[in-house]
Amino acid sequence: MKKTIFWGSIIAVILIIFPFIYYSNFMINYLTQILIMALFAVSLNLLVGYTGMISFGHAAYFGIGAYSVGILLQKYSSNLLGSLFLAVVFSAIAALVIGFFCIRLGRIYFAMLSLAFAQIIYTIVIKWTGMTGGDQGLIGGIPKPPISLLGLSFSIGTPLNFYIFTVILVIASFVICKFIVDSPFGAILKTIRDNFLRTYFIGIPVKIYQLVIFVIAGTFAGLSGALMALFISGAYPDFTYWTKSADPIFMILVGGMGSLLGPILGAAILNLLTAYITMYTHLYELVMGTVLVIFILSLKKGLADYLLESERFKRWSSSLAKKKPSRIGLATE
Amino acid sequence: MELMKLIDCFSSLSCLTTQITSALILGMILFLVASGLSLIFGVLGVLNFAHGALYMLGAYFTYTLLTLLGNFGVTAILAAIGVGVFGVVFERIFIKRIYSSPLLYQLLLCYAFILVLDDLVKIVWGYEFKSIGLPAAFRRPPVKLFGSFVPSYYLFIIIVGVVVAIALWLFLSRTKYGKIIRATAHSSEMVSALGINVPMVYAAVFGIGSLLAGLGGVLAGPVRSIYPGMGASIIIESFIVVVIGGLGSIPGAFLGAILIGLMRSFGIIGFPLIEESFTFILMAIVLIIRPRGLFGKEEA
Amino acid sequence: MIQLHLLWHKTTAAGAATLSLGTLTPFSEAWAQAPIKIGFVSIFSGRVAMLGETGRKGAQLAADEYNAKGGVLGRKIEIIHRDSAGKIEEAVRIARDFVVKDRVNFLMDHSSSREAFAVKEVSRDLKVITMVTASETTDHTADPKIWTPYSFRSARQSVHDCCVAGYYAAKLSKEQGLTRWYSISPDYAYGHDSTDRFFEFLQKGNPQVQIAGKLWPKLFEPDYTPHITKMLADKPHAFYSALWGGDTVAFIEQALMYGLFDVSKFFCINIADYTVLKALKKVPEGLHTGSRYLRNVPDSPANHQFADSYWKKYGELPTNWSWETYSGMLFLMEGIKKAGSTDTEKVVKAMKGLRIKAPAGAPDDDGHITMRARDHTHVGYAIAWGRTISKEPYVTDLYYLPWSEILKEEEEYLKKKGWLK
Repeated sequence: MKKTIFWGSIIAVILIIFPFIYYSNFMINYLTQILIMALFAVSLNLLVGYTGMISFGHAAYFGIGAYSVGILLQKYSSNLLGSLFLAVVFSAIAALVIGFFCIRLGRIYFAMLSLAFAQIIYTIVIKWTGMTGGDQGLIGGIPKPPISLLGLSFSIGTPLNFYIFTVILVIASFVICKFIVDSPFGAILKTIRDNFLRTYFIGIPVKIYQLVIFVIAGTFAGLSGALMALFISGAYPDFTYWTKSADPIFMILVGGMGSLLGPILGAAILNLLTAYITMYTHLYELVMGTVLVIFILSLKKGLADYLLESERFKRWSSSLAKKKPSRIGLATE
Repeated sequence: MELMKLIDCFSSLSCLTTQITSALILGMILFLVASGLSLIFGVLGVLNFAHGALYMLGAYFTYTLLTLLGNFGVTAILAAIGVGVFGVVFERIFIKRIYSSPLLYQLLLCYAFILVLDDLVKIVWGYEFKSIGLPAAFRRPPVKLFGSFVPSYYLFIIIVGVVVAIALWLFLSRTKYGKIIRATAHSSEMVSALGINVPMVYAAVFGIGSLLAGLGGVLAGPVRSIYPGMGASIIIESFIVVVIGGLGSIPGAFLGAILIGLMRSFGIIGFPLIEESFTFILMAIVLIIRPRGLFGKEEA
Repeated sequence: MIQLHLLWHKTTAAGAATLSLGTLTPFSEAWAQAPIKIGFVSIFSGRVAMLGETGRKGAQLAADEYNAKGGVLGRKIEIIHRDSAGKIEEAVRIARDFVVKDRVNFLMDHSSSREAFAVKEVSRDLKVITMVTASETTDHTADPKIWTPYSFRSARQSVHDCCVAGYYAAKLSKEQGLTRWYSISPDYAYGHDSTDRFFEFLQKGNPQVQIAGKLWPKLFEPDYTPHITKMLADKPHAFYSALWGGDTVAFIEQALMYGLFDVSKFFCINIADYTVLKALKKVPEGLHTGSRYLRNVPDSPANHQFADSYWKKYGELPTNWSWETYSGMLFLMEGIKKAGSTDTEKVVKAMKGLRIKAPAGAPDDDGHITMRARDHTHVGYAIAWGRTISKEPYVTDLYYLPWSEILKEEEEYLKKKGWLK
């Protein structure tokens, strides 16, 4: 655990210091966007990669987080941290309610029902024009009042400050996720993924575990949605549409579902690809599609999984393990 | 809500006829696409997300062939077969490689193909939307049926849909090839042990499924707008039909498609504002109450 | 660390030198200074690919015409265009990258109205002039809560279109006794806006009109059968539609099969665009339509020349989107010329109230369009309604409304909304 906090802090510090060494507005915007999408993908992977629950409706919580923070800051509140916290709470509640219905079903039907619920949320968002702006979304910008903490005031209105804010929140979230997956709770999730029946038969209340992780995943998705809304200063119905649920799935598939690194890698790769493809051609779909086809047919698994499962890596990591006593867990990554 | 208008309609034969035929028109096209989807899933275990793109190809092939040949009947048959052949090639080159991959990777491959096909169609036929126009044979006044008027082309679609449904059912349940296909769906190892060329069965099934989707596109083409990406307009509803009807069941797809058609056509009369999300609510209800759908198998 | 800085600056200097060498055209004259760069964001893929493609062509035509005459302030006009694929975050990212990475002088936001609201925030944040060329929703420039001085609009506004539509329909409804009306429009902000405004103006012009029903198929709905049969059953005298593009084509084909147009008169605001007219196998006669883009609206030499140059360059006729981006370019170029520089604040000031000659200029201002100073949206563009015929010019019996009337109605509407004091 201490190791995770240590590495997490180092990465956060590096990311924060980076723009002071080499400042580029472009890189900062880029990294902010990748971090937000990576959090979204990591949150989904808690379900897909670690528990074997494929959800096609994860955008619902992304959207609820985005709209909540937007509506609160536009109309009701001038407390940034408070609104952010509430937005995350709303997503968690939604995940609790929807999750309760969805977990009663097996794999494919779980996926379909989660999609159905997400579309229902989409319909509510589109129709409730008074609250959400209907299909135009929350327009006019989302105010970003400065955060006052311990007498200091920090405004996230500039790209650099928003970036730092995002780095802190996202890396902290990653650290928490790592705790979860490395803990005994996480180990049980993996056994549920690997063999649902057996886990059930050894007396573990599988449905409760599934519901808990569903809510946790929805919570982090809500945080990523809220950050995205602040980043582009708006929230739109697209955020809850099924195509948005597909984005993190692609990131997990491309990056790898067996680790936390996988979805992060996937988010980075797909975002970079999109940016570069649209810079040079209008045949974005053709190029992206072809890249994905070649990727799937050659690697047949996510990039991080491919690397982590390669023989060279296994030899290297086991040689490291001989030097330190390793934690005995139920399943290893 | 305009419930009075809905009740009035139920008591009028001509209104009922209009709405039922309207439901059947949408339902038949949906059935053609969804049945192919259900068949492919039932036998090959692949959720072919690219099925909408096959529908799109059917429409575009019809556009080109009709301009070249002029005869709609011949065009329709050739175009549908063309999509079927494309399906076989697609399966032999790409799909067969991912049979053993997890479901999500299959979906990703199919999605990637939608992207590629949409852009290829844009390159070959152009980005503007196209229109085929009603075939000459059907440019006549609507047919009078129980006091309501039904365009002859729509009657044609309904008849074709019903004929295909019956033919498909007969093929699968009565013929030797149908039995082989159903056996393969049940256990491909046993079928292979009996000396039957299973890869060829797979290719044939994918071909038939593609032909069905292509036929949907052929029939829908003349009355809808044709553009790159039009598969998106039918794929989600097809999935819902398959879920409601039961994965792998053709009769289920037929019933599910008609149900959705009925919901839409009567829904517009009674609830003009909310009809769009009805299909999703219906799917949610089915999944909560009876997850395997109307005719699906019990989940293992 | 300092070494890194120096290395970076050396590389950028070298890069800039190479870039500027690259901008030396193979033409006989070399461009002395850095080009004026315009970042064009739109949708180039999927089902609305036409939006981006035809918009880009209109803008490029304008750029080429200026460059042929030596550019603006002696500088070449360069348009960089990128595809947002219809995703709002992508449109925002591309707009930001244009400013921050490509260092464009101006943005041309040719996205749909949804993305336009999001890109507006980039315009506000980064204080970069953005010419909005596709969003037709009134609140984009009318709502003081979201207004920013850096945003300008050269797209048409649905309140102007609906005003002309309402007056035309009111006139015909009185002449032909069309008092029961229906509507069928796509279920999103534009569809609702357009339909509601139209009915307001129609009922104002002819208080006898009643609205018997409103239908709202979803945008890009492929099958209108239930809607058509509902209208056939209810038999309104006439009905209005804000369906556009492929939806209009599909609807017309399906309605023809049922003979709906014989039962009820069709008033559709979006038929008269060559994308729709050319897609229909045979344009049905006797439908009433507003003009999106037609070679004969306005029927002026300037507009004919625009259509002919576009045809010569691209092998197709302009669309509504093409003239909007073309006008947008004209405003920008003339604004820069008037300001004598590309400095943002100076150009903003120069474009306020700028009146220029343009192919889209309505007959009542002698072919001029004006960028209104108060809210930075343009007025004075040609709008006409008429009746369809099956061959060129496709629309006849053209009806224009004087802009003095249109502006009066617009002002009344804005005051009612509380957007104008």
